[in-house]
Amino acid sequence: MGHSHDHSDHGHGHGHGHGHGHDHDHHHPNAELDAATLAALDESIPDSDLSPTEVSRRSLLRSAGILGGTAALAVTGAQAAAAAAPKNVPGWIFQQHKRPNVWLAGDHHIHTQMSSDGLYRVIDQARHAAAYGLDWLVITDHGGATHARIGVDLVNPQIKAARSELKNTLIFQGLEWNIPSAEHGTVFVAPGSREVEVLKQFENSYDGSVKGASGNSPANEALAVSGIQWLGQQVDRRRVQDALFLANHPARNGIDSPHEIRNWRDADPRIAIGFEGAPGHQAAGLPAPIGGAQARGYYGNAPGANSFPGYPLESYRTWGGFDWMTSTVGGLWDSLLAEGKPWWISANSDSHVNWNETARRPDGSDQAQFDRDGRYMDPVYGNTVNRTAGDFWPGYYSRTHVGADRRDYLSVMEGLRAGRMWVDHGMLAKGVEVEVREVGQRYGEPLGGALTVRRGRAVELVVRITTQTMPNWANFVPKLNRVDAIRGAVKGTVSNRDTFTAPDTKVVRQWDTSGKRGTFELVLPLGRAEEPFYVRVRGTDGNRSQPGYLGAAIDPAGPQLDVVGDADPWSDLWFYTNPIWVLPKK
Amino acid sequence: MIIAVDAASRDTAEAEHVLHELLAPAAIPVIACTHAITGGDTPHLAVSIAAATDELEAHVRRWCADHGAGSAFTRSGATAPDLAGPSPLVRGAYVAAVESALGAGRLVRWPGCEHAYGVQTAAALRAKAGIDYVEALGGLPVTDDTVIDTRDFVRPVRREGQVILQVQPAAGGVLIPFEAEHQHKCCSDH
Repeated sequence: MGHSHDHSDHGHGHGHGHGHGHDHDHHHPNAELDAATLAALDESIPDSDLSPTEVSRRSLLRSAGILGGTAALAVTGAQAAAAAAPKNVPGWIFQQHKRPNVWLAGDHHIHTQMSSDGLYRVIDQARHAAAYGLDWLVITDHGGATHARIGVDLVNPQIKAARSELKNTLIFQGLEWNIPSAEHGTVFVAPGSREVEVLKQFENSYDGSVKGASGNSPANEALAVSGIQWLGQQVDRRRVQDALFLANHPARNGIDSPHEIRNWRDADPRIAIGFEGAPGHQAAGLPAPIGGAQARGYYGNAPGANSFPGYPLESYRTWGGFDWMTSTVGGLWDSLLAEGKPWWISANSDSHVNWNETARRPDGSDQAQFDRDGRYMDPVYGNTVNRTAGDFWPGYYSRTHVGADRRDYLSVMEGLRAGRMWVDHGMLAKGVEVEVREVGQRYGEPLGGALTVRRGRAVELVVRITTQTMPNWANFVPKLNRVDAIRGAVKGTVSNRDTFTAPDTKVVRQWDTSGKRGTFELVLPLGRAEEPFYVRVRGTDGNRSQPGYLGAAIDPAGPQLDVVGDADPWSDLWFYTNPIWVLPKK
Repeated sequence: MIIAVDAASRDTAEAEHVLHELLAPAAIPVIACTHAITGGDTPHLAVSIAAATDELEAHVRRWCADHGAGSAFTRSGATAPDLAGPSPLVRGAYVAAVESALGAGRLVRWPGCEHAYGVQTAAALRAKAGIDYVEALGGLPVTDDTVIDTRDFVRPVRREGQVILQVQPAAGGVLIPFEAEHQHKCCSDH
């Protein structure tokens, strides 16, 4: 069946950018006229005041007969980059002393028959998620006119039925928000009598598709910020007990600019807590003939008119299955952490139609039927195998492990907000516990925490790994062959909100963990705490590595650029943890 | 001369359709590009055509009038470009003309593009297909013998007049163009 991910003729994103390793002075193909060109065009500036580059551009433009038309540029104001930047941002909101009692694996990005490109009932997704070992999941059907009108209502009884069927599985209702001016994101709320009401009002007021607000503009960016703030207000007013937002597949089309991400986070840091470190659709790169031979994560696009011009082409592909914003040591994620901004990563399935599916939509269940009824009809046995579908079931490959106080809805949300989480692919590790402590102390701060320590005291990173004993869902026991520690200085707020590098962040230690079994500790002395910094940890099966995007001195053996049509996700496994900060005080 | 047209194309498929219609009557060699117009209120794409003769001009003027597009016609040595159409689209046309004059854009047609198909080495693409450089993502090396499967869809970028083909690794140990003909539209907006 040729539905869901075959929308190629729409051609969402095309265009161009420039390659890695070039100097950044030349004209950006995906940006509009840069400062040097504008100077060259401005005939009120004499040649003697221009740089050599500007003079040479002016002479090119003069010989082409194109000087003297600059009045055309004035017909519309240039977009202000950070028009929507929120005011009065709360400062540090670090959590402390919150050691988790239980680790709960989950997935916050799952579609059903209430999505225009979905297939499954809620119970199909929830039962598989539970069987594959997940403790919690969020149902996130696409926002849009049909969903806002009826789908958001229709999914709720299915979710409630699944909650009573699967007593040990926490099933949240959410939606996949078309963030105005940007990509998609998960929005979800704590279960309660008003979960549908709040989600529906949110979608009708703030969804980019419902509001016709998808394109880049300051007004649309401001609408996104307002949406996040509105969610916070619903929590303040107790209409819902809690609400969270995480950006999905952030680098896929280059349309989540760095300043938008910062603006979302600052809009309400209680609500906007992070983005997908690894996108779903991890089966999409399986080679022919066993898979669809597309780009891993469906990260196969090129920049378009709405793309942020500063992003390199490398950002449009996954690296070891992870989004470039996360996989790049010293990249965009680190640039937020280096500001001292809590911002977390997750890993999800984005399940729409799963690899090797044997079901299909029934005859007559088409787009018109979906638009009318707000859902596709229940799937039927299809008598064939869909090898080109690009998704895995929730829990089958991607997991987000959350450290929670208890096994309940609010504790999961609190754990997510606190950043007590790590993510893995293919069940690479059975357990990953990380803490930073003062040397000589028994306990420190767990993932997402900030260790406040007297200046000059010695601190250390402790990584406690429990190797996998069980086979994963490809039925082999994965081997964790290497663990890396990454460290960066906290420099405070950046003046340019489109910053996406953290020059001080790099890999500071690589441990060869091959052959290790059971539970073991890796300890890294972090020296005396003089200035604020953070550490984070990642691990791999070691099958595929290359120097990181920012060079071997930053990351000697990072994840490899995924190969289009030949990215077997089972032979390229990684885990990533969220960071821990160290904040020296007098 | 440089002819630039802004018909408010939302994506490259639409922009290339515009180019196709503008270029229909002529078989003259051109450098034809799409350009991202991001400085106005709604990001979109415009197109440019650089040609040695003015034989397309009358056709393009008619097309723009029929379609309400913005246009910029420039002749070398002129004191100012000839601008026409609704002002937001004139702006985009002017930007596209400036980029064309500076040797920038995303190439749809260029001298040699008729040879940019099939599976070729980087050296052959440079020798016959008008490509100046082949540049690979992620720091992958490209030598003369590196094999590139064009998949019969080649859209190089133009940078200071140079034609650069950006490529990425693909199954079978070959490199393929970074920009695929069929891309993955995000799911929801329909």
